[in-house]
Amino acid sequence: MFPSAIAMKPALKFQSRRGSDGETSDSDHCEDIYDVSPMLGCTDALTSEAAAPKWSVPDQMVVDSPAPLAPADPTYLDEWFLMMKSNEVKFHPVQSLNNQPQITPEMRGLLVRWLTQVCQTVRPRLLPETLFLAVNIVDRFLAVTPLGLDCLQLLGATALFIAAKMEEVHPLCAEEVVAMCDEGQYTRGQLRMLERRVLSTLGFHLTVPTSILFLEHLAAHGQYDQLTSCLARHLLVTSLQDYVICQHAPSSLALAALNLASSLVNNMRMNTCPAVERCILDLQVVLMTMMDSLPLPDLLVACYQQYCQ
Amino acid sequence: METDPDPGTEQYEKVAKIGTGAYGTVYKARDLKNGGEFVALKRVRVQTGEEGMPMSTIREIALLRQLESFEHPNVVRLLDICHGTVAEKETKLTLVFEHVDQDLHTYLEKCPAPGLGPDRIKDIMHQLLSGVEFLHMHRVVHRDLKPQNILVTSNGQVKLADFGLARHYSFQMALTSVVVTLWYRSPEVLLQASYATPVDIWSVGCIFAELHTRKAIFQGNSDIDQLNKIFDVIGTPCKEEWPEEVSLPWSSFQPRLAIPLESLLPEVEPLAKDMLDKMLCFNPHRRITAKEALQHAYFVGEEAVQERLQEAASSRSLTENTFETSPEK
Repeated sequence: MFPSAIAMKPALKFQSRRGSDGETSDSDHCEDIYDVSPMLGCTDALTSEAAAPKWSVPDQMVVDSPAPLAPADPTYLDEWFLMMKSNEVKFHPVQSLNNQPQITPEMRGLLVRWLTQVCQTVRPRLLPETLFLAVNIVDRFLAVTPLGLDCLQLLGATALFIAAKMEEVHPLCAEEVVAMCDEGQYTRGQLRMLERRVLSTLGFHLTVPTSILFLEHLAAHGQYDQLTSCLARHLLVTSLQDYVICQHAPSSLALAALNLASSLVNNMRMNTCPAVERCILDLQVVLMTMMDSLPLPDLLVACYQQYCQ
Repeated sequence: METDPDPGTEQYEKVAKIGTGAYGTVYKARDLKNGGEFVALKRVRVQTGEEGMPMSTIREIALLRQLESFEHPNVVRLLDICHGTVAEKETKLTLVFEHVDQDLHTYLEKCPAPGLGPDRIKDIMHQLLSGVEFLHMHRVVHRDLKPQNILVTSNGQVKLADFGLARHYSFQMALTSVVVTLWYRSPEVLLQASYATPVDIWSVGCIFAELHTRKAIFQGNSDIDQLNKIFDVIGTPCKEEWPEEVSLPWSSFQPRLAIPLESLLPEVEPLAKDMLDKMLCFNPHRRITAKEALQHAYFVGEEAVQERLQEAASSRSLTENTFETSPEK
């Protein structure tokens, strides 16, 4: 449940999990993976929707960084979105674990779950964008660099360190990040070293269209009610841990999450393309697992509380 | 030339120093891995302490990278970023840009009398506005557009340079003795009122006028002098248009009437004049946007030609593709 629960020596912890759970651990394994524990701050996605939609490049950049960013110009909202969409394939790693000798989809899932929990427990809570960017950084790095299992948690921590610098008003400090990991496992020097390595490997390509970015755009400009978008957010956050689901294009996933949520909340389904339909099928499995542990009305209330308050 | 002391940039052989400033040094170099093609190396020193790479640097380089990923034809290519040595508290980064020999300033200087023809001006303007529109779409304001940082390639392609990181460092330049030109600054920048996308359109307007006359339209030597030069032409705005909370009150400027732009630019076409009027509008909210300018009647003729060319090209590729087996979607 808490970071410490998985933040043991990764190798041992991961192995013991696999040993005891066996092959068909899906149901009990998922029960806690897909639970509705206190989630990431929903920030102001819905309270201030009139002011500005949430972008992967948040507004605080204007204030906070010397980068010459202008306030979102409504003239260019659609063009901007289409350009991000045309770019998504470049920054969406597919089968990122194919060349990893030690790291399996299950281990990646545990790492992502740990990151998700860290994002909730850190104060102030981190933005969903930070989590999604961190996971994207992890996947893209793993796609090109074979990594030892003993470094997996450090990679997650480094990715979060970098993602917070991109997205948050107050980035995480190195000491905080090292303290999140297993006690005494890594040093700040190692964190900075891996940061340099990750930045070089990814060539500083850090403005990436993640599924949450597409979701926020669609939610801000489409005809979705708050309950629908909250459930969709929860679906996306939860399925970040699922390696198979992460193979789908981020924009299709976002649309699928909204569609599925809308079908549950309003009994309304829209016609979509086959790519989105495939996402919906996968997300349905996640949703079923959620509803196994929590009946729909309670689930909706929990999502609403997490993402709208 | 000298051997590069920076590890990570061995691929590039410096041939000449292009410029130095508070921001660092710019070199012209050869890219040894790409047939000796010329590139421009911009060296940036970054303070890296306990917290690793600073947030501002990460964001700015990520922004440059993001823009680069779209490979816009009117923006200078960022080819590579070399992560150099890490000293105690400093990391050297080298940004590798494509090298373009000539900027718009030299291009205009070298242009023989009687200057650029109306078609060439229109072509430059279209490219310039396309580049600016692209930056604005990505919420990037250049803030320092001027002929010196607009590049013109040997085949006439216009490319914007020096946005992002470079601009950040140009702030430091303003603090040093380097003279920063005010000639392309918009009234709201001179009044320190706001810095949104319209500031670039003002600069584009100034450049538009300069393409006709080959000399800058407003040549002020201080902020106030620059504003006076502007009001001499566009007239003093009415009191309601004056921005709130600026240090210079409206009353400190003598009321003047606008003079027709034709008197300054005798050869300007009526449609060009109309667009220029809309660019040199005092109120940034009423100033034409890059998107609107590109749809202005001034360009419509050209766009029709472009469309016809595109249609011709696509119909040609269609006939070619008919003979290829296309993968099933």
